[in-house]
Amino acid sequence: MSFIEERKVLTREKRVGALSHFNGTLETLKGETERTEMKQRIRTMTQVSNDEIILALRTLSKIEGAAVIVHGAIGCSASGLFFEREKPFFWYSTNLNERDTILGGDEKLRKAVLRAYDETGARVIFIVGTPVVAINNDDVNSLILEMEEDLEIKIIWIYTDGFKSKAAVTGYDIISHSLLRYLVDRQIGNLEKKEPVVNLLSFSEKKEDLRSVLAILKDLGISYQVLPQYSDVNTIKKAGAASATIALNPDEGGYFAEELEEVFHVPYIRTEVPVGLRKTKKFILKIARELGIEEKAEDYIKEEETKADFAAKRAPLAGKTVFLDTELSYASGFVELIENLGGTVEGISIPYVDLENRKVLKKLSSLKSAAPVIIANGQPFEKANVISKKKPDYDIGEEAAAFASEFGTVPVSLANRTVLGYEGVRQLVTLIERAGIYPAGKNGIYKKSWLAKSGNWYVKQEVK
Amino acid sequence: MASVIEKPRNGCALHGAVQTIEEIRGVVPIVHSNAGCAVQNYLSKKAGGAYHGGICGYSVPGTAVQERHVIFGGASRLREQIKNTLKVVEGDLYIVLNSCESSMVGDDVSAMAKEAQEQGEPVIDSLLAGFHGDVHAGYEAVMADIMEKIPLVKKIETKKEERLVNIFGILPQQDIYFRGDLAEIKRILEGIGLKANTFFGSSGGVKECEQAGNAALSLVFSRWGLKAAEALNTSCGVPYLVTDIPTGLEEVSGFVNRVLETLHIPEEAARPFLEKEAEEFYYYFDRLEEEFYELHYNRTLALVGDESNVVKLAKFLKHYFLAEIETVIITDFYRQEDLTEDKKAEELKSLAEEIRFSKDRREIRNLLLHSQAELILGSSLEMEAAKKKGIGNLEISYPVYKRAILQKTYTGIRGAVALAEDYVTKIKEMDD
Repeated sequence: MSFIEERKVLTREKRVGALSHFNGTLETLKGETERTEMKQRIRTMTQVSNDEIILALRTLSKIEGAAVIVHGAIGCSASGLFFEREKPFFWYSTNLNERDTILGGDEKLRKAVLRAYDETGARVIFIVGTPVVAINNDDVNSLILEMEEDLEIKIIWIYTDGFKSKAAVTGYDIISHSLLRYLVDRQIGNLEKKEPVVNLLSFSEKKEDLRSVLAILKDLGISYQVLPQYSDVNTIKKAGAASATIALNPDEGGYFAEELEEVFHVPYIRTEVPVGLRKTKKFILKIARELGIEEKAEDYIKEEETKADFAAKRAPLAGKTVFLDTELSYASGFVELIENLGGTVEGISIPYVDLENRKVLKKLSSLKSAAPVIIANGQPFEKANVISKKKPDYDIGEEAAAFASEFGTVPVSLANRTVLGYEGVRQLVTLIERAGIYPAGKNGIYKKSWLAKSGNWYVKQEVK
Repeated sequence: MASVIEKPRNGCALHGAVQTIEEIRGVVPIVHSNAGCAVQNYLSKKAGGAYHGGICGYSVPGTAVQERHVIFGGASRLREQIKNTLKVVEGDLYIVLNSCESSMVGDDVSAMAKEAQEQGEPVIDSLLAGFHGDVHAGYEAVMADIMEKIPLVKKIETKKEERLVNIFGILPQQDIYFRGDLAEIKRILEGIGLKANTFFGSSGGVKECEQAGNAALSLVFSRWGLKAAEALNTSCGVPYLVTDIPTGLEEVSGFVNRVLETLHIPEEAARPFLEKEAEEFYYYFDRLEEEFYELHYNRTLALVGDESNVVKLAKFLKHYFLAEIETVIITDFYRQEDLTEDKKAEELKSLAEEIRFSKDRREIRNLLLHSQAELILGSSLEMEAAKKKGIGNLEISYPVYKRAILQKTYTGIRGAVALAEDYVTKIKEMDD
């Protein structure tokens, strides 16, 4: 069912029943997620975590030809400094102060739009919402209507607010919805003859991730366009003209891809994240089958697998245990890869599970049914609880789990590296072979009494 | 009216409070905001070269306010969070911080902190919301709150220490050299027989906050430290001295003498120390003499940064290298109009030809492009202007993207030598 005519996309909780809080075993979680409705929980103790605004900004900062206005207090755009380390982008803060929270920030927003228009040459201006604006209810839509007409430029409201969803990934849905509704050209999309190019949807992948996956597509001679991040406004406009869509991470890009399929008739090649040898092979073959290049793909896979297998055979995890911190869409491939490298996954942390991706849990069949599972966006204190008890040899995840080293667990961070594709296998092997504990003075921040407790004492079921 | 800003280099008041607390060992922030507020600061500081440790980043406890808390109020959620943070996170002092949401909704944050206090827990609050200002306002408020409220939750023996001095006004993380600055000021004070409460750095922590009221003097190195010093003055009668951050022999000597005079200690007490410092300073500084003439250190400069640091550097470079300070752009201020009557503004006028106030990256860039500067001393955000002009940019202010700064300082005697090294290196790189 298409949501494109809706003014706003529903949060992940409302759309697919996303569950962001859980602390228990794999068996319990599987049992709970098999039901028609997943029981929502709330944490009575939390640590700060990424929200939809941060995720939205991350992706928007990588769209060429756009200017971003963060409509809120000055701190709501602070992460801009982080996102522009890789490549500068245009961003403004409306810098709302107390007076604006009472009397409204419309005038400042108008000034910001005018500045972005005059100073940047942007073809699209994105206005990112923040808690202040959501609470004081600025009429952003009227301002957009008026200014779009005056300036003849596309102005798009990214209606993030930072507090309506616990699943930060909702930020990608909001971007997708806004881009599909206001930027992707419907006339181009409705053309019967499609361009011989494949959309590769990417929202959060690092450039190292893309480099690895794009190498595969290039080697297979597949013509592609990456979007929405690492793309251009014009590329996004033409998304409907592509001959197919691949979502690199279906949990992030699935919404965009499904809408493209339903509304713009661009076939969605439903792939899984290419982590590990088997999932990478599956990823390539699925695409190759759709594009009619199976034979070529099989030869390519054989060649690449031999090279990657050479690294995997070094089995750097032989006899070792791992706590894995990843997204559910990565989990089954990642677990398999760790096992291929000789290791055993003892516990896992994922940011959320929902009605669409819960089937992945069944694929984690090699894990013990009593394996600890945490569903949490961040929340290192919970992971510290598990790691202090299980004492796995390695903690593998995107963020450096420095806290794990206190318990003798070696943190392996995937930051600035990739685990995708064949290159991902090689890089993970090297990362593990070189991993070690930084000899810092250890000052644990968590109380021993907490670490001795069961990890789920603070998660309660939501009262409706 | 605060205006629209392109690429703001400063976060909000909440961010200022969080980063201040992160740097005081033993203090745990509890942020009453939506999940991402403090993460915005974490990412910004990670990029800008903060090198924070302890309770920071994703380990900061926070209520992760949801829609229901915005609609029905989030006080009970905060109560729950305070209670559980006390159970989970080690700390000697817990500080509940307000945010834009909780301020707009009207959550009674103070009442929740007070409840915990009544149960004997070391919990205080600081109520500045993000929209009340930028990071500097956050430092200003939270340091004043700590000074005012710590006696409510700690048993502090009142015992005046005649040689103890508090240091306020050097902002952790925002001053990219704050660790080194504090260490050097501490070294100088110890050199003249005093003890320094730096609050931050390797010797800082909750104990120093507790002892602040017993100090003989507070030193205020920027306008942002004034409120904390005044709070201590009111509550404990600790006098304060507003002074510039000293760099170079003359400034350090002047600073030392002013401190001693305020404490009624004879200047002679500092003579052996200052003589030794002079010896060290000139030992290094004399080595630049030949190059000073040949490489023409007396360049035309533009400085961009927080007022206290810019004044410090401008004074040094003007005095020792005869540099011409053409443009100074101040990036920390409440409102521009407040500054026209400011004493600092007068001092700045004596140092530079043109004084501007801006937090807007584009405006700063344009000012720099139109200047005659031969070298910029600014942040990484000024790199673009420097490149366009084909000149160097020595990074002296936040953010700094590509340098690791842990102990380095441009303060005091050792900082003066480090500054000279970096300044001369930049000149050589440019002249290549």
